[in-house]
Amino acid sequence: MSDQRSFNPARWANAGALIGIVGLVALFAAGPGSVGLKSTWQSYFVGFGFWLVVVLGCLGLQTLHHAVRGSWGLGILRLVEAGGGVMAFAVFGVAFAVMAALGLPSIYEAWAGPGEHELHGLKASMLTPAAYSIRFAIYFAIWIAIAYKFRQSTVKEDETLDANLGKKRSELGAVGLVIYFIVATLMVTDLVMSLDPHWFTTIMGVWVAVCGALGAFSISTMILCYFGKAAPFNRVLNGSLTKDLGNLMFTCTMLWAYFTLSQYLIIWSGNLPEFNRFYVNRGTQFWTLWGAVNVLGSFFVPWFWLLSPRVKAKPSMLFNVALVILVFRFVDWIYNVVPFFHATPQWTDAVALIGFGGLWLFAFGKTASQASLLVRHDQRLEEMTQMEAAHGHA
Amino acid sequence: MAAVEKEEPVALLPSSNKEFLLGNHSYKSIDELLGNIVLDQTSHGKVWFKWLGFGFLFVNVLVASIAWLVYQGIGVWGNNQPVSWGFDIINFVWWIGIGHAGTLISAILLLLRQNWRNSINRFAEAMTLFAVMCAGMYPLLHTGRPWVAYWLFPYPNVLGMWPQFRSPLIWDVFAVSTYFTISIVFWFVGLIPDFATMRDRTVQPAVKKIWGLLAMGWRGSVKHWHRYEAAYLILAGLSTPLVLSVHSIVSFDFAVSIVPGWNVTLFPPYFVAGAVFAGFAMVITFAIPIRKLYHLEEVITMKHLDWMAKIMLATGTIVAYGYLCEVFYAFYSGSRWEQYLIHNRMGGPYSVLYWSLWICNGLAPLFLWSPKVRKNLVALMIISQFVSVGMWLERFVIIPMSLHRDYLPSSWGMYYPTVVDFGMFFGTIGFFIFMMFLFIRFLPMINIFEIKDLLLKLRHEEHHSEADASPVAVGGGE
Amino acid sequence: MAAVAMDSTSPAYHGMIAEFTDPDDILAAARKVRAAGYTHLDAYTPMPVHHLDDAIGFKDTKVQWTIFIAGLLGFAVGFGLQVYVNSIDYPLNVGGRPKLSWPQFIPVAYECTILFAGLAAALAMLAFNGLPRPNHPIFNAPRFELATQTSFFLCVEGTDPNFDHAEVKKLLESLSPVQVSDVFGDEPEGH
Repeated sequence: MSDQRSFNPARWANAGALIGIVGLVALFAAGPGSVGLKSTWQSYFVGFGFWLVVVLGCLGLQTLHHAVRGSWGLGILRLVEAGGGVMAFAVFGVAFAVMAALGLPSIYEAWAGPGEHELHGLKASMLTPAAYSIRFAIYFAIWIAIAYKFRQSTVKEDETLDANLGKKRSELGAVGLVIYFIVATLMVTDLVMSLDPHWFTTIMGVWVAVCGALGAFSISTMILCYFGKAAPFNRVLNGSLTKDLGNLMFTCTMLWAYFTLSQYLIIWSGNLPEFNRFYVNRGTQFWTLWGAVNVLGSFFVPWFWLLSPRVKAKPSMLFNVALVILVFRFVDWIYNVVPFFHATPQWTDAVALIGFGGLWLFAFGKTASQASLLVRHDQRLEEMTQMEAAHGHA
Repeated sequence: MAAVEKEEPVALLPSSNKEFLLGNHSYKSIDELLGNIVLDQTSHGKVWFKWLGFGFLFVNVLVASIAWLVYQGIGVWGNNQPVSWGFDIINFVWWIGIGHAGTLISAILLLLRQNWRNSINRFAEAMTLFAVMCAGMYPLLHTGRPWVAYWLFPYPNVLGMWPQFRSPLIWDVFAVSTYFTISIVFWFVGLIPDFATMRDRTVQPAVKKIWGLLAMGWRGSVKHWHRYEAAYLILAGLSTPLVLSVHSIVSFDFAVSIVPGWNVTLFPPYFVAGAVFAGFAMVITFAIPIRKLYHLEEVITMKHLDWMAKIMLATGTIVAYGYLCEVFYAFYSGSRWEQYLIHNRMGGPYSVLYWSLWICNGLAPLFLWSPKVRKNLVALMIISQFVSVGMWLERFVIIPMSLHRDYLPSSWGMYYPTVVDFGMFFGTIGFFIFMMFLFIRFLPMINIFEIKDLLLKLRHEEHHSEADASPVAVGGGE
Repeated sequence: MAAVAMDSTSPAYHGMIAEFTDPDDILAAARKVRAAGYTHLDAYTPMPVHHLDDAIGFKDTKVQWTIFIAGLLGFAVGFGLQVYVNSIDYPLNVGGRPKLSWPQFIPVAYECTILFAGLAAALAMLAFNGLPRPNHPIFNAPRFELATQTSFFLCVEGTDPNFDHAEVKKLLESLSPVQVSDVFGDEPEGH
């Protein structure tokens, strides 16, 4: 049939590499002349950070899936393994190293820039380029170790069908979740919060975890729904899987709104200068409007859309919702990060987002093409699909 | 049963129904096992009276404490400037938190299609109701004039007075009253089909009338079930964010103020996790003795306790994460107030309580990582007690310990609870036990129709698995 | 049996029921009866039997829509109340916050949403089900007290356009039920 699009990750890897190289070359070729070198590095940071959160989200979903062994994860496991695998972390590790070597003074002006910095105590020793880079090296090492362990184990179980491996992953997943949250909290403190070292908020760790999960869910749902009519995904794509994925995105959307509103309400009510500077900086007409659109698209649209059981039953409709969610991940990220640098987003931010998206796609496609797109050891979803087909017209 | 552990068929989380309903049950035996606890009033031995009496004793303590409080005024409590919130708010938050587990068991697990909830949800929902009653007493009495508590609600009146909606205390009024209302509705809707079962099984005409009245003419029509299931599922869907919002609003009581240690953006999720943590501890505390007392080991199985212990472990870990975040960000912030707060917690006059908190909530749940501990009833019971105490300590650490030394050293002070404070605290515990035992005797404490549903699912599951599994007897006549 | 006392054309005639003891049997039976062209069907079961509603051809989403509308109404009422009270009727300056402190109005509006929707869920379920209704012809069916305990009843109602007493009886008996009986409502005048 003509609408049987099939998923070819190897081609995606090539396309991704091309987009990534062209995007980043364009960024550094045209950026410094147009917006200045400093802003170019800041855009680099915007693109890098966004996709790093997605990579982390993919790792988070793997960890969660292995810990609880829900069948919702079986359809997307290979996709999130590819999106948050060793290759993805390696690519972003290299991108980080480039940034750490050359870009820190432009990005973290308050503590890595030239001149005196007014920081005291723990923060003064924490926020130095060396300490910052060492911490990130540790974060990347931990992420790569976890991702490697999971991937190796699922591939091996596909060959040997040894159920003990699944049990081991379940144990590792439970511990992994704890590690994941602690590392994510420290990471986001370094990555985002230290952009303004005089400001802090304690909810950002869980916030970034949900943002990552939303990114990972939306991308993998889109792939699954778009290619669902052709092999291999047609074997697993049934009403109960799309319902689960829809409900999980629905839940994450609500959690995002919950964390975002909690933070806003608490800071707005307390109105203390060391906290409210975050929103005061976003109080311009431009950012207020941007924020309103963000809330509309990140919460209201997907939330009302996903209320309907019909949307969750139809892959083509679920695809649209996932697309909206992904697009508004960009919008939300820009709202949270860019005002630390500029009064408005720069055109280079978009180029960097696309460029790093290409790099992510490259890592994703490469890893995805190295193993079957569905796990073989766990057939629960396929059994469910067959059962549904058998019962459907009974 | 098969010797090798098989991969479990799942919904969102893995669970095999066969581990959640043991024994060779039929619809009839379920009716008998669960219905007869209520219908056969002779089945309650002396133990029931002992516990009821124990509870009743403390209900009297509660009544006396309240009477003295109302007669004398809230000066009989230990809270005074600078610590104007003491036991009243600690216990309010503690009880509300305990209530949340009931709703979560019912609602979230229904949404996650976890059939194992069927055996414990009714019982846990009853816990919610009584816990919210206990919680509600405190702020009501703390108003000083509980007889005009209706002033809290917005209604046009000759005083020309409206509530002040920017205050989190008025949010509490709406949150707690909504929570109580919806919990009752959820609970009652869940009971209707069981009321009908009781109506049809009772022989005494007078009792039959009561059940008949409560059942409202329920006849089990498939059309009714169709709407019933839709409504029940949506009620669950509403209750889940309701629980989140209630405890978040409770956390706003603190978080929207500017007291050091309170103006913390992580408070809402961290409070919610703490609530679930304490709530599951309380469910375990009640479930272990009751399953033994009423021989419900086949319905409330070890697997149930295992799952509850796992949830306790997960939420306990989140709570510990919250404590770590508080410490880390206090130092990261560079704010001297936040840093002093942590110093004061760790080395101030109440530091014993802070370190006990770590032992109870940080250390004790770690034992739950071991599957052996999760299978050991005594250990589970002990850990649950640690958790209950720990969550109470957490509220002590957050409330009086932040208030007694804030920005201005000249207005520092100490807080000591009084006899009346303790009288009310133990009194509400007694009230809770008293109500729970009344409930166990007079209402079906385990959802009968949902256990039948579980039995049906179990049988379908066995159909799909290999043929050597012994078939479960299903059928009425016998 | 007693059914001979009145016939199926009597105004008090409700329908014919077949009793089963297995949910899968009643599901299969309902599908067959429906396939035979009967539409005025109902079934009575001790617990919800999945797909039985599809089998008798029943679907209704009025409850869901009522809840949705009630929720929206609840939000509007909750938010509107606060705006009226604290911003219009008696504006108060609390900590220098604006008269329309919308972030601080969200919690109560949210609670009102849940309250309205939750109450609507219970009330709409009861109202559309026509409950409370203490009496119903089906309660006269023999052994019907088992419908909330161990038995599953399928009812072909007398109002069905294709209802033919002999044929329905034949069809129901062919489904190997425990028993088949006629159900009569209470007579309007005397008995």
